[in-house]
Amino acid sequence: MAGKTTLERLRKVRERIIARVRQVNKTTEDDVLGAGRHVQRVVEVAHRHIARLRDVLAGPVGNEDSDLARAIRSQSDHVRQHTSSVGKAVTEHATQVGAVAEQVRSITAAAREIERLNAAARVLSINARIEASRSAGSAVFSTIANEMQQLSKAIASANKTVCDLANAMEKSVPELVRQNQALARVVEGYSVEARDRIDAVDRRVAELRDAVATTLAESDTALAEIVTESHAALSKLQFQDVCAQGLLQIDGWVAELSQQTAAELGIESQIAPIAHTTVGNDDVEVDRREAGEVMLF
Amino acid sequence: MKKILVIDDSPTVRQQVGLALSQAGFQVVEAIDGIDAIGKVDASVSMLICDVNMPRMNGLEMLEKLRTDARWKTLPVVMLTTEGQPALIERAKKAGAKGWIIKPFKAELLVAAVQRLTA
Repeated sequence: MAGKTTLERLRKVRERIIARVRQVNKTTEDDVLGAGRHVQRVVEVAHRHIARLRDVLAGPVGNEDSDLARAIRSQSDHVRQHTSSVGKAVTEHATQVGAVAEQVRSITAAAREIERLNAAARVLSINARIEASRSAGSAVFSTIANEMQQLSKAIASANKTVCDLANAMEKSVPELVRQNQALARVVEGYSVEARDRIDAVDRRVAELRDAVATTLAESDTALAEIVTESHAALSKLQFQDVCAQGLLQIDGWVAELSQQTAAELGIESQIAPIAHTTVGNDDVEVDRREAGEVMLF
Repeated sequence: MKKILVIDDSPTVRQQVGLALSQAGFQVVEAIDGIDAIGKVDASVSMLICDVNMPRMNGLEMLEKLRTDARWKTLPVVMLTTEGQPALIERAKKAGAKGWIIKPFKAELLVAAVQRLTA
């Protein structure tokens, strides 16, 4: 009778142990699952934030093919091409001004030659007039003398116009040359300044791109650190399963004690199956030095 | 994306293994014991991570049953358990397990093992 009472007490103790262990395990399980979800959320937020950062930063300036990089490159090329074109035009203009100056000198020389020839024509005209007086008013020589005189006057008048134009051009050509040189200096100054500014923009873009690359690399490092820390947190959270199994093992020991007691008392008794059967038969917890060990075969 | 079948009666372990593997780019499917796992394994599964002590069908029984099917003769299976007895490890090895990891596991080592066995 006393033996049956003892076994009944053991049965009730087992029920209470199992009920309490399951209650504890359920509580810790819920909390650990909640903590796991928080860990997951932290990693997801970090992933999302870095992906957004990459879109925002890397998109406009982070690579050579971004819209902003292409626009800046296009603008720089445009300015370079135009300053180069203006420079060439100024140089061509200087060449043409030089050619005009040479032509003016040729015209002046030609005018002098015309003047020389006209002087010869005037001599011929005088000779014709002398010859007309000698031959007692020869109509032929008289006509030649008059025509030569008229022609010489006309040539002198035309040559004077040419000389006046040549003189005017000789005065204006140096002014053209001076203006061209001034223009060339302005264009060269602008080209140098434009090149400096473009180079400055290129340097700033390169610096910005480096800064973006550095920021993204640091973000990737931070993300890797977050993942590593989350792995560490997950590793720590595994205490729950180990503890739960350990607590359930107590039921096995009480069941074993019940069986031994029933056998010693010679009582036929139905012992309820243990709450958590294990494949192994180790009562002792696995050596902690082995925990986490990975053996690949 | 490679699919890993995680078999454990503990929801916390399934969650922890699932998070570690999903962060490493794996797709994770869960089973609560050996019988559930046998029903879920298919050609799309690249590897199994299996607890040993589970109700209904334990991990070693599941592994031995799995190997009787010619389709799953070479499917990598790693045991993940609190057990560390050499006899059990040897039994798993004979049954064709590719590895044995003792809980509590280190997530980075688990991920490295999975990456190696699914490479």
